[in-house]
Amino acid sequence: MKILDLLASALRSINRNRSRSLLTMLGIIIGVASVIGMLALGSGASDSIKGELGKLGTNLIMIRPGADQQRGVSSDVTNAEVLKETDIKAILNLCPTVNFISPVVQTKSQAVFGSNNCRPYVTGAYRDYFFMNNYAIKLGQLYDDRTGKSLQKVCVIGKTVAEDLFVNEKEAVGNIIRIDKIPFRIIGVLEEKGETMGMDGDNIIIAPFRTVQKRLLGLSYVHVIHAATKDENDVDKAVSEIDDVMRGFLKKVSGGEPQYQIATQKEMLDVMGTVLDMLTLLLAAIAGISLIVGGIGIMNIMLVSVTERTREIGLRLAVGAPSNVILWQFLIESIVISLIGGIIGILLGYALAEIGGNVMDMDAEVTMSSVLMAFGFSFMVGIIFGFFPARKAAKLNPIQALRHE
Amino acid sequence: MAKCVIDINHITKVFNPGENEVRALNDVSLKIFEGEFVSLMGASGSGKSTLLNILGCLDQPTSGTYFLDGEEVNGISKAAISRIRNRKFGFVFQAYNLLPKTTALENVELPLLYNSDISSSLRRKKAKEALVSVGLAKRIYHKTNELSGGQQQRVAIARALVNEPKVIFADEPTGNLDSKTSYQIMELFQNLNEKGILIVMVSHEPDIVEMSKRKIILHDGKVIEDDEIINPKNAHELFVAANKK
Repeated sequence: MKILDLLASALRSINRNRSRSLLTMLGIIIGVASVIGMLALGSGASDSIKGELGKLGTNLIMIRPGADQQRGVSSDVTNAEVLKETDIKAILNLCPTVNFISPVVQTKSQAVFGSNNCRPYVTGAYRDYFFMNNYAIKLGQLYDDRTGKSLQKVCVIGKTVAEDLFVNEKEAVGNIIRIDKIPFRIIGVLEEKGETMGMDGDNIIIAPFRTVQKRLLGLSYVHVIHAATKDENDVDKAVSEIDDVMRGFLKKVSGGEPQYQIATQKEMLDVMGTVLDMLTLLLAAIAGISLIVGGIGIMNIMLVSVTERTREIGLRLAVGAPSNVILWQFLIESIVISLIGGIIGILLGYALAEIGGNVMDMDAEVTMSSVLMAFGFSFMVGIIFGFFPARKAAKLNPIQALRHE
Repeated sequence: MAKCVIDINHITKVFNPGENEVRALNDVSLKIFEGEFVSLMGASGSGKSTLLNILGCLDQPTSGTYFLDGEEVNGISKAAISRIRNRKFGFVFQAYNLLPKTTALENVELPLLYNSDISSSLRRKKAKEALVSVGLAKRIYHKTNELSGGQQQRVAIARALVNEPKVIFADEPTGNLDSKTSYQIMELFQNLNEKGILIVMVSHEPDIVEMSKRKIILHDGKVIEDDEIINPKNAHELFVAANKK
């Protein structure tokens, strides 16, 4: 019996039991569609989050106090105060690849204007901070604090703050608001940043570094230092330069261990990317389980089919069908069922990715590799779960099969 | 002298070996020659169907030897036995055993599907010829469930014929049919026998058996009678006579 005859006979048999075949395929269809959809949505989500993080500035380097954290608790309390504003000058002078730098202090405070109030993050930083973190001014202007001498009580506010405190953001510039009872004059409103991983990037106020550090917080140290290179490719070099300066010139070491840690936005992006990819794979694996369940469904139906068609098998054996041809007949039937299911599933997966992408407002692209994987997987499911029923059919005794009622 | 086609010696078939063993065939020896039309008779449980299955290579004897066309069949591979059934034998069953929801043509094509020497166009052509020869020229594309019992059995006979077999084995071929239709089916068998096909038939209806040429009666797994039928009845004449009544 030729392969084409086998294929034709399989298609005829599937066609004869159309609704049953379709129900059998359902498991595979759902499995394949969800694997493809999940992978597409997962990589879409991952891309969009990476894009959002990229907006924060990929050249950014962050120097934080407290390197030797154990179980999330800083082991040396004094480490929290290890960074000083004076370090900035040393880093800027001794690290040629560092182009922008700013100390950063941050707090969550209440801001009041008239009868309105809100609780934004208040950041104190140099003017470079805006460039490093991709903040652009929309209305008004930036303050002119390049070296940190300024104690001016001026500030730049984010869109959310502007909307919370004023009827119209255009009214904000020039007005005086109170942050923890200290009056600040608004000199600018920032362009919208949008949400990043559930955090409102616009619920912020940025003011000159010393104003916030001394007047608002009364601190002598710095929370974080932000630095940036001109070129994205210099980030690694800059990190090692900063590390050298911190360790050598500034001697920020205690018991041989550094008292600071240096992180880059790129690293965070990479870590985030790894986590997201793992999540995507996990989702796909869960979806993959339904493929296996679908395979068991195929096996079930094929077993029913073998029992139902025992007489037919007996007849085929009697008229001289070799048992391996019977095996192939049923195997090909289950493969055809799962492949048709796979194809429908792939189309459905495309639809799922398209709809999901639209709903979640991102680009969910179905990759060729996921299609091939789903296709290959459904082929395997057809073989693996079709084999047992097919072998059962092939092993039938023709006389008993012919007598089967 | 006619050539010996089937030659079995001391065939024994035991089911359920052990305590409840059933000796379906007990030391049966037979020779069947070219051109014969043999009827196997006997009460139910006498072993006639078992004998037919063994002769048709659907079952293997527990002991004894079987020579087909001078070649030993015992102990050859399953594939080789399938090939013998496919090329040399045709089978007709009491319950027709046609594939449901398929056309007469597809049913008749079935044995040729398992013969890779035959192309699909030749397969189709032969199947049509076989259906024409059993008088179903107008029913070629009918589904089997649209046919009467007699017509279904004709499809089954066409299926048995399509590979130009040496032997046709028929297990109670008229068992499900009324007498007039039975005569028509027997007429087909007689015509095929005329053309040189050896026919081995199981039947318990004496009037049907009278249309064959040799009657073998089994009892408790043994041959108790083996007679030539002198002047077998002509099925066509019986059919004409039945129609006149």
